[in-house]
Amino acid sequence: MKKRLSMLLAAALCIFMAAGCGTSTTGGNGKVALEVGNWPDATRPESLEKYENWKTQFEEQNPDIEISTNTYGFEVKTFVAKAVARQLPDLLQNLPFTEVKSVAKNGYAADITEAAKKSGILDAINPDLIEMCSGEDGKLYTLPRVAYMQGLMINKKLFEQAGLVNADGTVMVPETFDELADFAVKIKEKTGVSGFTMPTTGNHGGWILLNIAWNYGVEFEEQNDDGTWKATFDTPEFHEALQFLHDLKWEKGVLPDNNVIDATEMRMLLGSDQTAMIIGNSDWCSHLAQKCGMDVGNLAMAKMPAGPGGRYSQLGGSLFMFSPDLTEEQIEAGFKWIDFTGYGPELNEDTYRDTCEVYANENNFVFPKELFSIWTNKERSAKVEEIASEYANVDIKDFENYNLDGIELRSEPAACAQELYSVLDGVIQEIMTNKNADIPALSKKAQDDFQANHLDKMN
Amino acid sequence: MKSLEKKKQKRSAAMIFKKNISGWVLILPSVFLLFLIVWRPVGMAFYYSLFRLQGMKAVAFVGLRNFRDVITDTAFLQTVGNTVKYVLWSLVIGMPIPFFAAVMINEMVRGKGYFKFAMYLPVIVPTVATCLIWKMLYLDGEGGLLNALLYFVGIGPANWLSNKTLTIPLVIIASTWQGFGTTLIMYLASLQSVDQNLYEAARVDGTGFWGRFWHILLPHMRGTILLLAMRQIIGVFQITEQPLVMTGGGPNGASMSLGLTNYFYAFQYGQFDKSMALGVISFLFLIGLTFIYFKLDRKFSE
Repeated sequence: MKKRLSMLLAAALCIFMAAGCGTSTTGGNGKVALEVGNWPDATRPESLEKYENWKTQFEEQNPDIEISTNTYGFEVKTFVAKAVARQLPDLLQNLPFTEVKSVAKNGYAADITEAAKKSGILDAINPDLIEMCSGEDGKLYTLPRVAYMQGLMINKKLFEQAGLVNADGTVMVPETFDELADFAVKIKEKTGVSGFTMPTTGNHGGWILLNIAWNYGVEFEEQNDDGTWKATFDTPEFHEALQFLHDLKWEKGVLPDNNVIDATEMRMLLGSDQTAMIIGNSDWCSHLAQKCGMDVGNLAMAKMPAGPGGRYSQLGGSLFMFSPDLTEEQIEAGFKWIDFTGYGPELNEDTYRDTCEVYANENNFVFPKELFSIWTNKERSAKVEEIASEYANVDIKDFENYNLDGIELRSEPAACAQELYSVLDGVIQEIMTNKNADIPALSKKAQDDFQANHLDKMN
Repeated sequence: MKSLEKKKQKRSAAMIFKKNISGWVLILPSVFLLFLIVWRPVGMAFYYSLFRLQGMKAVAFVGLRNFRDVITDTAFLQTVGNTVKYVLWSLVIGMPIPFFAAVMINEMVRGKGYFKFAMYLPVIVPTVATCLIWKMLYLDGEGGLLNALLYFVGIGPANWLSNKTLTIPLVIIASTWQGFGTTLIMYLASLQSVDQNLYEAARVDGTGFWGRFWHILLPHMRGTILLLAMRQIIGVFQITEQPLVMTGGGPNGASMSLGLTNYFYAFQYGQFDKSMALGVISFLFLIGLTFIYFKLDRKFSE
């Protein structure tokens, strides 16, 4: 009896397992199927309702397309596994610009060059952005959803407390890095709070350092004639940039005591009035409002301050990506969806209005105009401005300085960018935790490490 | 003669199998799952570590190049050194605490149950949550709890996790706090098997606590201590989440472990080939240690 029971149990186990291995398939109905990623989940009921309504409307307008939904959005830890297993949604809506080159090289994204040419999208994109959206082979693999440049993010309350206010009530903005240091000192004196914060972990420190060092005239790498790469950043200019950060920490004492933080923790400091300035971009605004509890009226933004070597800022963005196995019809359907949701070259006023409304209700930033335009079409920008001003919840004056005048835009370093950031993270950590850090030696070691561990070992 | 013996053996093997058939059938699902989620990936990692991967697709056979790349990394030696430091600190901090706690609980007449429960409690807290709590404790500046205490007694704030020499022991303290409940239970179990007559006799003869500890408990526990030390070495050798959450491997690589390097290869740089090569290196080392563990285990359970 006992034996028979155990046999039965074992058999049942096997059956359960076999059942678990099965996959479900859905029957085709002749429609073009498109699975859209980044679908909101129940934690954002307003957005979810908006998207569900859009789905219904879109399918009514396009009876030959059937939308299915997937809440998956890009996440570093799971992306590659999903991509290899071909489990990504057909249309992913938030690929970070930092991933485009490797995604293209590894074949995780569809080549949409032809489709984009045919539909006219390619001609409509701001030419500055094409490089960012393309692979190393020059083909187009993604479309921009949001674009931004690195700049300064400012906590207005702290600036006001330190008296850094213009006659018209807006906050004063540092135009150079020296001025940024002066402001930080004033803020520390008047409020006791750190004037400026640098992240140092999670590759974020290296990323921000790159942006600062460019302005001191540093070039990080160059390609040799034979296609290999050479690290070139160990220069007096780089030492100067590092000395600037060293002085902020140890001479001027304007950085926070705790320096082993990443960008997420840094944003928290800005949002909770514990630091007055960080280097960041407009794409972080909604995080500041929704996750850090920052009042939308408390933020101001400015362009990257100038350094002795010029005034550079990194271009970034969040991108649309298509899964590589899609048919031409599916990609076209994806373009239609992008257009419909208000992110295409022709503005869909209705859905754009929906977006503004939900953002305003979710206590997210609604700017009265575009901070960075993806499309060359000026009429589109005018329409955006017209609709957005109805819902705007911030004063555009606080963001006036966050513009392209005098700025030279740069893209991410072409070879081993993430690895470079990681090496630079170590450099900043050393400077932030060791008052007697030997800057030239540190810089030399970082360059040698980057060359030996990464550039020389590129596949 | 020989063949007959073999046949006999064969037959008896078949008999054993037949006799235990329901056992075999019952274990089948576990074997299948182990194969699917442990053995097969291990085998695949060995195989793929010899290839250049693009994403996770093998594109070219490169022999031992990935191993060479991993070992010649300028940070490799420092990382190995750090990992050894983690292990040593875990032996210094992590071994005595659960042992003495177990001895103390064992000596208790009342409240045993409560202390057992209370000390086991941290084990059920997820590792990441534990790390975040301890990170708050160690926070630099006035916001950190330890610094608040220092401030209270009039000493200025100190640097904790960002202090290169302190960072590894601090991480170990946090992970000891979390993990020592399990070790404690094992020590307790072993303590409970001490011959009570011997113990009582010693007590009646007027032997004090330390006498009993030295002459009865310690000799009895030697095997368990050695085994648990081995387990600890194997476990701490793989330390990953704790430094990942608490320090990110910093400052400047001072708390980088082999496990964390492996994680970075895979999930920060997308270099799965190097990640697998490093995984294989760690695996071989750990298999060696595990072998010793089993040897010891057999020796002491005899």
